Amino acid sequence: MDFKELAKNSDLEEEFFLELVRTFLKLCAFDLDNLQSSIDMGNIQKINEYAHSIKGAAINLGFKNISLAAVEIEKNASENRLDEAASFANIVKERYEEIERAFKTLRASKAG
Amino acid sequence: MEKKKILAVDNNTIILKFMTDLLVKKGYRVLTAKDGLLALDILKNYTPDVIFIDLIMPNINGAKLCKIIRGMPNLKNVYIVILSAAAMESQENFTEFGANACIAKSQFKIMGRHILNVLDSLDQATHDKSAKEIIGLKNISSREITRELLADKEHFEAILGNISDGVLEITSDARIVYANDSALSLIGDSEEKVIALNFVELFYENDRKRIKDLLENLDGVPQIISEDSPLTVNGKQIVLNFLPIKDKKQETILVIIRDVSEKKHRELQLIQTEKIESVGILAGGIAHDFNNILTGILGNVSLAKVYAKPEDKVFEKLMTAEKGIFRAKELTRQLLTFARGGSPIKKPILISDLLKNSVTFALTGSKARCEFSISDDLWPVEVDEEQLKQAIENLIINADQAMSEGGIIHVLVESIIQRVKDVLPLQEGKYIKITIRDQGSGIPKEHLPKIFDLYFTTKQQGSGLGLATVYSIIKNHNGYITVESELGVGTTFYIYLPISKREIIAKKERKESPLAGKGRVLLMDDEEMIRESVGEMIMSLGYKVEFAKDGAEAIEEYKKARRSGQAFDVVIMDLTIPGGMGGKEAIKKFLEIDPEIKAIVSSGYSNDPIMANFTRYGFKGVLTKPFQISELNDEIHRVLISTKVPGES
Repeated sequence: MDFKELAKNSDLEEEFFLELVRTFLKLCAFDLDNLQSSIDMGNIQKINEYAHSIKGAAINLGFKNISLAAVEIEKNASENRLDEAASFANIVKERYEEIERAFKTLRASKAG
Repeated sequence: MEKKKILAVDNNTIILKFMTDLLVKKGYRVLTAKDGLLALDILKNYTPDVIFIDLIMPNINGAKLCKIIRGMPNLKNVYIVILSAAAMESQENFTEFGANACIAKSQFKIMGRHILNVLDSLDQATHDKSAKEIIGLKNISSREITRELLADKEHFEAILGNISDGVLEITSDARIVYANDSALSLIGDSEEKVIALNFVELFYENDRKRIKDLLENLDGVPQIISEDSPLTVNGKQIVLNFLPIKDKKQETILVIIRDVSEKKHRELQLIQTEKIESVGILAGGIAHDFNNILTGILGNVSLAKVYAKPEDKVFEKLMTAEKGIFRAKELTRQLLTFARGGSPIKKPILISDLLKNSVTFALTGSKARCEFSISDDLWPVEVDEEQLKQAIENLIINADQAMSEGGIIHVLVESIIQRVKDVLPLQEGKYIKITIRDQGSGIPKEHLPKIFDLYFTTKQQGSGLGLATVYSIIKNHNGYITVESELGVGTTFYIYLPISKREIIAKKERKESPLAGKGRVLLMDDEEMIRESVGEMIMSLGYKVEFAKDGAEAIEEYKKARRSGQAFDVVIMDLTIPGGMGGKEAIKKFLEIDPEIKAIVSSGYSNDPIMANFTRYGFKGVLTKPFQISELNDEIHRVLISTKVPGES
């Protein structure tokens, strides 16, 4: 995960971009948690709301994999295919964890 | 050039941070709000030049926020930019809800450029304000998404908009974030004014604490304000259902509002009707028993007068006693008028004398005086004299009380012809119009529609029965009453009574000395005192009299007399016999035995429909208890000589 490149693509200074990533990780963790509960409860409206929130933030920061998976969650949920929606939620979670790991590594290296 | 002031509204913290960083660096003054409610709070003290608004937000969405902002006079010309992924996906026409431009959400690099372009062009006044294009749409790679999300919201709003109950969504701190059409109609205000208001402020001061306490103690449990103690909003009585809704993101409360004004009004009317019915039953019962007692007393006094010489001192005393009995009779008449539902006992009369007597009586000892203007060519009307007297007296007493310093009451009586096209709710035909005009304080406009309502009164000692009784009496006469009033000028009542198609029977001169009667009379009454006194009255009139305690005994006596060749010429029957057969049932059996029977019905229930329409039931005459010897004489005599009822064609 090249945060420097992503910051450049967003026309943002790297430090500010990382601050936004930190915020994203915090908000996305909250949304993911709620997304999973909504899928478990079969609440389509809520699934769409949380997927939409994740997708919007991911698009802004250039996390394409997450935003595209979030789109699939919405599509599948709207067509009542909750199993597929759950699979894409797992993809979002995996991508999220990748970003989180990369972010922590970068922070650690900067601190070190 | 001074840089523009910006407000950014978005529930996404990342966007707000990005916007702040981007715009502050360019020298703009930027404030941010995480939702519509916070934005509205900021806008109370901050007037931005440009507002960026996210379309999909919790509580108040972007479209609604735009409409509210456009309704605020100081923000009419603010430049509004919708900033949302949803907008470009649903091809929302952002100008419909008052936005000037729409920028599609995308990667920050692209989105940032579009934001700055719009602001630069505004600074240079080169921006095309009429453009409806969504800026940045071409650069978005992902086009799908939130259509369903928006459609879902629209779908639910459409459903809520069509239900008859009011639905409000309020935040945990009681601010209104959604109101359906029914709720807005109940509250009586527009969506722009209602959204963001504190729910508690919708109510009157004395109800606010109750709602505040209820909201503070909801604790996730639904609560209701029931029909037992409804609240008032915008003049309507409402009940509320509070449904707390909690998810991980937010806590809101759904408030279901139901208008129960109509139901409450109907319930009140029913209670009033039941009340008056109970009063009626009680009054009717008392009046009946009282009339029976009076019949005995009056009968004896009448007889005593017959036996005494007019020049005797005792005769004078008997006259005084008789006057007292008449006053008592008047009291039972009033009681029976409250026992409504009873039909008036009507007969055709010329109304002028009745009016003059009633007005004079009502104004006894008053500072007010009356001026009459009575047309010479009055048609007769068919009325229950006693009831109409009471109606006129009630109106005159009201007029007198409205003129505490005295004044003139004008009473005008005229014959009129009602045409079909006339405004009054009366059938075409001839009427007598009575106008009663006072110079009193007048009735406030807001009270006018209620003055005929039962128990409505503005007088400290008033019962609220007076005008309700007047209304009932006039209605029972197939008439119409209406009112006009002006504060400080006075009040005018107009009464319309249909004219009579029957001819007026001239009143016979009452004779104190009895006519010499001839024939046999059967008197049926369960009261011994009545049998004794009325029996003696009948005998004093020259008739022979036999007695029966109830209908069954009377029928037996009647049959026996017919078999023995000494048939009764007249039967006088009490209408109701407790625990036995009364006149109402007995007459049917009598008619089977003798279709030509000359029966007179007698009762203390002067308001009983049988008394009003006795011929329909097969009676030939009627005697309202208590009656004098002269009335008894007249009625027996009339029934004996003719079977024709006065005025009946």
